[in-house]
Amino acid sequence: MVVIVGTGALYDPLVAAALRGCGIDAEAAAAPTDEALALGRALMPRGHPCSVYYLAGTMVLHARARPGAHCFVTPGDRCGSYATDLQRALHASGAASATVIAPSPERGLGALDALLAGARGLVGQAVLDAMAAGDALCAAGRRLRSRSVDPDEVDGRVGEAIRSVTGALECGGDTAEAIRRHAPSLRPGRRSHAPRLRVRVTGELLPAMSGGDPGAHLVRWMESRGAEVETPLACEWALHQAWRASRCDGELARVRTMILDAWARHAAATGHSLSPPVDASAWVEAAEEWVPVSLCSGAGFTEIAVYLDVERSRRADLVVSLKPFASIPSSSTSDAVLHALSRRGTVGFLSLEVNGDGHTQMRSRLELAMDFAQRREGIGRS
Amino acid sequence: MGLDVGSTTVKVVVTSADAAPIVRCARHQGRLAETVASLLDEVLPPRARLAVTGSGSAVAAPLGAYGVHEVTAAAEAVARRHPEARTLIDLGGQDAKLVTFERGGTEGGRPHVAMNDRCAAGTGVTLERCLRRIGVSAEAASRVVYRAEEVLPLSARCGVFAETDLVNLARRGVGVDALVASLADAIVLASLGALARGITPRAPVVLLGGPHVFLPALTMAWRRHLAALWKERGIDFDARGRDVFVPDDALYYPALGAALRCEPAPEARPRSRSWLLRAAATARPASLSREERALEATPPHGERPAWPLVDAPVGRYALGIDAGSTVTKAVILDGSRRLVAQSQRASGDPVDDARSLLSAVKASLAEVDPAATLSAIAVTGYGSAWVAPLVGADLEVVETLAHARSARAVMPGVEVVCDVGGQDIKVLALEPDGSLREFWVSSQCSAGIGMVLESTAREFGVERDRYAERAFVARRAPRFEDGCVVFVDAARVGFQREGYEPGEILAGLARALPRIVWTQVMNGVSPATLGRSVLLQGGVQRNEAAVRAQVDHLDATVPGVRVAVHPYPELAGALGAALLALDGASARAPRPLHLPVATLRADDALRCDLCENRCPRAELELVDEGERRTFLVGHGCEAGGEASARDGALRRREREARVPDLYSFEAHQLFVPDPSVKALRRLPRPLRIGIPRVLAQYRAAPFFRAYLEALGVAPRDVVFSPATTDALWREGAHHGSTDPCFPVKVTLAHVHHLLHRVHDRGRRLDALFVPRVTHAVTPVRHAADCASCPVVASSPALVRASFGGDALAERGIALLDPEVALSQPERLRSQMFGAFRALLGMTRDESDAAVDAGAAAVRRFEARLHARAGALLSAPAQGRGAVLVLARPYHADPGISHHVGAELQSLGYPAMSTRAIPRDEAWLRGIMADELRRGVIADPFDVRDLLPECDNSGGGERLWAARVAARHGGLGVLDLSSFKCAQDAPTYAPVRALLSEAGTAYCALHDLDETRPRISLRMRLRTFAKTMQERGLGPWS
Repeated sequence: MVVIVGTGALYDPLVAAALRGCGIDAEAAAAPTDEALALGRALMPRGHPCSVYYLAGTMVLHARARPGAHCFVTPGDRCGSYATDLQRALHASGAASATVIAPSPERGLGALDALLAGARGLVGQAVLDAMAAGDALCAAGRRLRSRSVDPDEVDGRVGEAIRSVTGALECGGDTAEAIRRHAPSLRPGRRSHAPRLRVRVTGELLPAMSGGDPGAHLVRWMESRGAEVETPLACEWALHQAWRASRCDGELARVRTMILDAWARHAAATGHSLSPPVDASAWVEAAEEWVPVSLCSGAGFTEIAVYLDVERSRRADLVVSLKPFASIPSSSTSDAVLHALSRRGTVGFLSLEVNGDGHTQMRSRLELAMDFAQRREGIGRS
Repeated sequence: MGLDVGSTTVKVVVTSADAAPIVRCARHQGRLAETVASLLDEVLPPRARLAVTGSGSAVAAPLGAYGVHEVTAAAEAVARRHPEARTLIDLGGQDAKLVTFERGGTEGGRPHVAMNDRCAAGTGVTLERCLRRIGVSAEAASRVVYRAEEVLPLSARCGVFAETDLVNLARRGVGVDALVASLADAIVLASLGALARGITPRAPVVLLGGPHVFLPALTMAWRRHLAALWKERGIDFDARGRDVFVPDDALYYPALGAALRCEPAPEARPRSRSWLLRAAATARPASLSREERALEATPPHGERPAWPLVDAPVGRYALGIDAGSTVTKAVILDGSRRLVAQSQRASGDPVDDARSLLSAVKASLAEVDPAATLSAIAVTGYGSAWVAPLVGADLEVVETLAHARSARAVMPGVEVVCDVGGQDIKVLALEPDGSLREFWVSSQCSAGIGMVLESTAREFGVERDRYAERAFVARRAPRFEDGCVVFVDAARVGFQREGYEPGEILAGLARALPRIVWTQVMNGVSPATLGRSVLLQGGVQRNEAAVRAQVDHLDATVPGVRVAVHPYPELAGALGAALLALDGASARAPRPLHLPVATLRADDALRCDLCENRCPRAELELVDEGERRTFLVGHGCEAGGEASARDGALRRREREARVPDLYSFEAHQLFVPDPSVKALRRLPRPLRIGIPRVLAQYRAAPFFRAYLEALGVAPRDVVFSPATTDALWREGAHHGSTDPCFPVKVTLAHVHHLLHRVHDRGRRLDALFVPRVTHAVTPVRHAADCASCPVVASSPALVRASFGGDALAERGIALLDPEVALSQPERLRSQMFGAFRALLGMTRDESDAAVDAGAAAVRRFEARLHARAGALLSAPAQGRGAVLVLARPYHADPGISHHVGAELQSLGYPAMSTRAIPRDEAWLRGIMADELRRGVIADPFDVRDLLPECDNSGGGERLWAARVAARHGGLGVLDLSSFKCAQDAPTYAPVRALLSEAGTAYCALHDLDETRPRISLRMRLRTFAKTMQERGLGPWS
């Protein structure tokens, strides 16, 4: 059984459904929890970023709840470099037959290819559709919440659409069409005239894609304080992967077009006018001054690209970078490079360390950054 | 009206148009509702608007008040009171913030705010704890005058690091004034780096927050460092320091600011005290945190063995002293091991400690046996180097061994000893014969929990003896997730904010203790793999709540475990020392307990002059029956124990002849010109190039130097900054624009040195070369990649962020920071040509030839290194061992690795790096024959079986070298890693597993940082040396 884990509670199930649609026995692990964090910490050596502990604990909990021979597949970015440690944690917890695959462009996709039994092309399109559908629905949900629709009601409407997309993925159907059927319920209402603080979240994959932090639900919290929050898109991550892969096998142009096409189809289906994904490859030259782009330091590079993109487009008033504690590449980028860039720029910037605890302190910092950004932009307190 | 509900106090300010403000302050000791109600009841006017700020601002809603963030409030107060202010620096109990006003407070400029990251949190709490540790009251500290010349290096990256350094300095005999000044200085430097991140704070600067109010030394330190910064950057300032000040009533600024911003709040109606109490008490928001199982008071909490006596003549007496980091303890045992005298004293001045303790035990002994004499004296603990000569000790024992000895006496056959003291946690795994198999000692990131239990209880007004009583009645306990004491304390404040009661928080802390021991300290090693008989000792085990939590944890994780508690847990070290003294039966004649006349002198003349750090030292003079002896104590490193530079050099040569230190040799030789390199061309004019001696230079300096020399740069014009020292770091630390590992952070200080100490002092630099080395040459084969750490590779970005604007351009220095892939020859040629073409004006062919010259220089350097390593690797034949330092290349910088090469040399062991291991494939095939035969590895340079996804050069080298050590048999392994190194973390488990399985002596020193914990480092290394000896690997001298 293939278990998809590590891209957040929305995307893991969609990707698993995409694999099932291609005939692969797959399921998604549950969303990371505090219990998973504690378990991961108990089973792994100290010194890892907290996202690795979340991941390890989530895998172990899954293996305990559903005994069997699992092959956990997780993105090969930050957490992927800990695949052996993750596997060791699984074995130490009694899941002796569990394996972990963390594909990344630099390390090659051989293990993944073996798993997919030669269906890479087919699976690739299905997974891209899953991610793009997730992005579109996630963005539409945020847009609805920013129009003051009750968050629980938004969750219900988006949940319905996700179920349709899941069904479409499982039977090889048209996922954009599945969204389009729900477009009336996703249609945005009138925008309030009161200006809102616009926040763009960026940072490492797991915390940034898990609502800000699996434990603290920072995005929802910011929304409850009146902010309109834009979170990273899975398609942005995919575009970055494609750019990295292009340095190995030169497939950039084709894959990049596929990603952007998938995103456009699904975004249009929601009926919203959604911001396009930030394409990291478009920012290579601008970022090269700051980071060695030939290295696989993924999140750091993406963060710079996002900041530069926001600064140019002014599509947010505040950029919040979420870095797991002890994630040095992210720390270096957000503490030094982005602080230097934000001093020159006009968009506010906050680098926030997440560690699975200290939620109160994190919220206090976020509240302060939002307060200052609101004052800078002349936005009244909501 | 503004109410500031902080983590320890509640403050209120009432303003009105026609009267002076009313201010009140009260400590809440965890009883927020009562304190808030009481204060409001006292001062709330009949009609008022109320705004609440601070960490306890959750009371705002039920009181019908307006909530204001504390920094917003403070900034508001500053803007109104000091419209000219350009910068606000606020050090709170937990957070530090810097607010810059673009055009002064009230001109509507866009204020910017910066906050410290999590590791640098807890400034105020740290200060309080540190002062308590060195026995200085807040009042006494407030009287300390900051003198720059007294300041000693102290790490303030985080509170625990500062505390660790402070304890080490205190135990080296440094005086209180110097300690407080050093603490203030370190906090300012750390805040400047963490908050300013390269920004220049403009004057006037307003300082707010409790620490600034209570410790004037901080203000003085700010004035000194800001003045230096302004001078360096050509900014005018008031030399009398009036640009940096703490306003009157600074403590009340957040409350005042809240009051000033409360216009939108509804006007409060008059409230009764009972209503206020009810309203404030409802301020318990939904918990964000997970909770623990409550602690149960019911027995059993582990076995309670009695102190064992033996059948032996009682007339012999042995004195054992444990000069610990927090408390010094002394015991006297008679021949039957009966405890006839004991005394304890909070650690302070070592001479006073010894005098008072010995008086106490002498009196007790006299009651038992008026004619008693001592057969032997043994001393252990942090302060043993001081106390041993004072008391004329026969034996100076490593703490770990003293603890193991005591444990074996109490629980014969004990397999695991867990000692939790105020600062350190030690876990010892013992062999059946009682010898030490493995040991773990808390690093900074897992130390100090004992002290936190105590200080939190004190904060809540709970006596130490009543901790357990309060914790046992709590019916819930918030879960503390992380073991770092700074994080624990931050979480504690958060839990208070969420409304948890003191007893509940104490229960949660007790529950966290075993997780810190068995997860953080043991670093993922399951206690179940060590054995099933566990003895708990150390002062914290007097706390029944802590014991209960540990027993519960061990019951749940180690099937069939037997847990016992030492009958005298806090005396275990002293008892172990006394037992070892009895075991050894001193050759000296029994003598009465007696203390010579001791005088301690610590003045500037005694400072060590062997390096620019100029560490303080003290002279201990003992006069006994007319005989005078002196000891130099408190030195910062091994070399500092010598009276003069000449003595030091002589002793160093003697030691080097007996015990080669290949590790230090390598670090030095890397930067020495290679006479074989010939210039291929002449430059039209001489050019001088500065290179910071950091990071990848410890890998590739011979290459870069030879490349430049081949292209005509004179050897003297390739200028490397010196090796890292405290002085170098401190001078350039204020450039801090990031907070990653220390080796990266220190890069900025090296660049600062090159600009200010080299260029500005006459040796003008034409270029600064800071390559982004993305890929390195390593012996490892078949790995996914040989990439550099992304942070190391992007460290030039930090240089660009901090110096890239004016600092370099004004001096006419070109910044050359090309990407360099050392492992990709063709790309390397192109990169080097591209980087230097404009500056050196060479042709591509000339550049390529210089690249070849660089590669040849590296080969020659390594050949010399490997030849020397051969002697070390053949030593086991003579029963001698050597130490392989498993680390990244830049740890060879003695300022990064805390001089471990020299420290090991002083213990009689030669050290070598992973790079020094010869690459002779036939030899390597011989020692790895078994794995090769089994097909586990394809060749001796294969590490895929250990970490298949390893794609970074340093990680691969660590794994490869660990296997060499495991198979060689004559090497012990000292595993160094820097704080926050997420690149090394995946290698910890495979390295430990490999070495443990092979029975290789192993010591991990992870979390290295700018701290200089020499005493605790030495304790670990001495324990490591003991484990080497127990494996038949003796010292060389």
